[in-house]
Amino acid sequence: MDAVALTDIVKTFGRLRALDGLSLNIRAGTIYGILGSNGAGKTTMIRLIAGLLAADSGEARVLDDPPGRPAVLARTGYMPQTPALYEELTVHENVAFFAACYGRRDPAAADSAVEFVGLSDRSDSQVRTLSGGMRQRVSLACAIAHDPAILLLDEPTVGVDPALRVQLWGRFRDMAARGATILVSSHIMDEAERCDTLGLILNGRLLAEGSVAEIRARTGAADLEGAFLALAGSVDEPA
Amino acid sequence: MSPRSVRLIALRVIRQLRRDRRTVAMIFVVPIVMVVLLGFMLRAGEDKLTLLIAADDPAAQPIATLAAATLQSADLPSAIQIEPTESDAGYQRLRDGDAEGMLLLRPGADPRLVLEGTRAPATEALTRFAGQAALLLRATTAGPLPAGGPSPEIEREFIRAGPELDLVDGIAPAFITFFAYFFVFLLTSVAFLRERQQGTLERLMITPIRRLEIISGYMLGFGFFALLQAFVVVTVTILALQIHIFGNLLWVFLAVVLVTLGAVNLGILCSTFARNELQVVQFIPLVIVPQALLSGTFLPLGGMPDWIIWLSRAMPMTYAVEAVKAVMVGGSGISDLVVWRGMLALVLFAIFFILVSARTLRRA
Repeated sequence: MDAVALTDIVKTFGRLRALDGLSLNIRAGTIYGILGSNGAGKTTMIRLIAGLLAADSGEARVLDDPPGRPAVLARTGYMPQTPALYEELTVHENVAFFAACYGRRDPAAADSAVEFVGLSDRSDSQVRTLSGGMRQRVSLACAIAHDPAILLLDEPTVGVDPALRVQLWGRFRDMAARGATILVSSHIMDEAERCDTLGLILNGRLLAEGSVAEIRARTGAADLEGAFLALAGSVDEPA
Repeated sequence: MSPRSVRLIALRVIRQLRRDRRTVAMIFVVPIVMVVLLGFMLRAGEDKLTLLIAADDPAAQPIATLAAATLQSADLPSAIQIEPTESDAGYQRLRDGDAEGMLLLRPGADPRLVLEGTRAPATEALTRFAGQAALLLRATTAGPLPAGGPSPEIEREFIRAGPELDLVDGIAPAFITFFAYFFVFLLTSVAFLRERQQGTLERLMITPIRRLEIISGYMLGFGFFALLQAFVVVTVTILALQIHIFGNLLWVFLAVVLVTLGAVNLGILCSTFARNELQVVQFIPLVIVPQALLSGTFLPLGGMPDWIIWLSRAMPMTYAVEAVKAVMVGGSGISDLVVWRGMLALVLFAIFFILVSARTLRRA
């Protein structure tokens, strides 16, 4: 079953075609990585799935419903690129507030999300006193405290140290094993290698899709970075 | 000091501001709106006062009519309009706020001046005028009015308020309402803009919480501080300016709370159209100042053309100032038309702004 199904999605901002006939499907319970250079359309796609943007044309389905429906929103977790947090509230207050917005009012939900991101010892600190990486982790905790069926992560590990990054990916894997679908946009290639499926997007279109091994095999590149550059380059070159 | 460095900075400022189209537009729009409106109001806003002339004894009514004709033909200040009437009808018109004063002619005594009382400048002008009028009537009218004698002692009667009312008392209700409205508008619009800028509003928008719930929640949250501010403004104004209160303060608070709830939602609405704090500040001359001008705070609206009256009726502050003034100066209560109509209008304005800001909430 597909958790996300996008068919021929077009989204323009003025003259810019951010998504230009994008189609892709994400199987439930998998981790899907979106790779692409800056301005390729990654964030637009995630915001569209989150229900923050409406497509100009094409069809989008998330958990079998159009994105933005209350039933879909209740089961979606979204972590934006910049940590959107209340600076004057503590870590726990932020997480508990967003969990409650999703109907999870028990403090245990917030506690376990804070623990998940390794910030239990800073639970009572105001967000404004935290480093950039820590804020990023609080933002992630806000996105997962309500135990969403689909988790949208826009560059989630920017500013997170390597040890914690490994730990977080272990947790993402656990969530996926329990049936959650995770969509991650990233620049970081070693992070992309942890995904079940990768989608490469360029100029708002899906350039290539498959497992890491499939993508490498298609280009003959030794690593993912080489494969990505080869695929992007084949489009850039004039026909 | 290097002229080149100064030029560098100046050119950068000009280039940057030129690309902020809103700011450039405001440079033209704001002075045009403000100067035209203010100029028009100053010209049209000459305070017209109505002085009724009646006789204490209904049998002496012809004398009142004669006296009115005498005063009308005399070379007296043109801003005061003289109308003969019967005393009962005159009292009613004063109670309705339809006239500012009534000169009651009494057989064998100097006339008595009955004043509506809530506008200190009108009270002062009519008192001065009544003295001159009494002198003139002594000289020209025979019969029951005493001729000659010392300069007339004008006895005054107040329908509302009293002789202790001064200019500050008259302005204070507008003062309270304006500051409560202004501060709360600033607080809300900047705070809500921050919600947008830091992305928390967007994060909230993709939870299952509904837009109307978000707006109502914000309104209550900000409303708490609005209440606090209203309390501070009212208390400080009354204590520091030693205002005379002729009505129940409860209704003053209620009106101020209602007007600030409207201001909360107006703030939320305006923050939708602002990208930064500078743009919020730019809304002040467009949203706040015309309301202050048109609310009758600084210039009485009585003699204004219809379109100005209609414009003022489309603004919440007008109703708030009117209601607060009626309570503080006029001693009115919630059962009086001007007060409950004002409160009702403020509730409707608040609901209107809630609905509109909920509709515009999607704009990221």
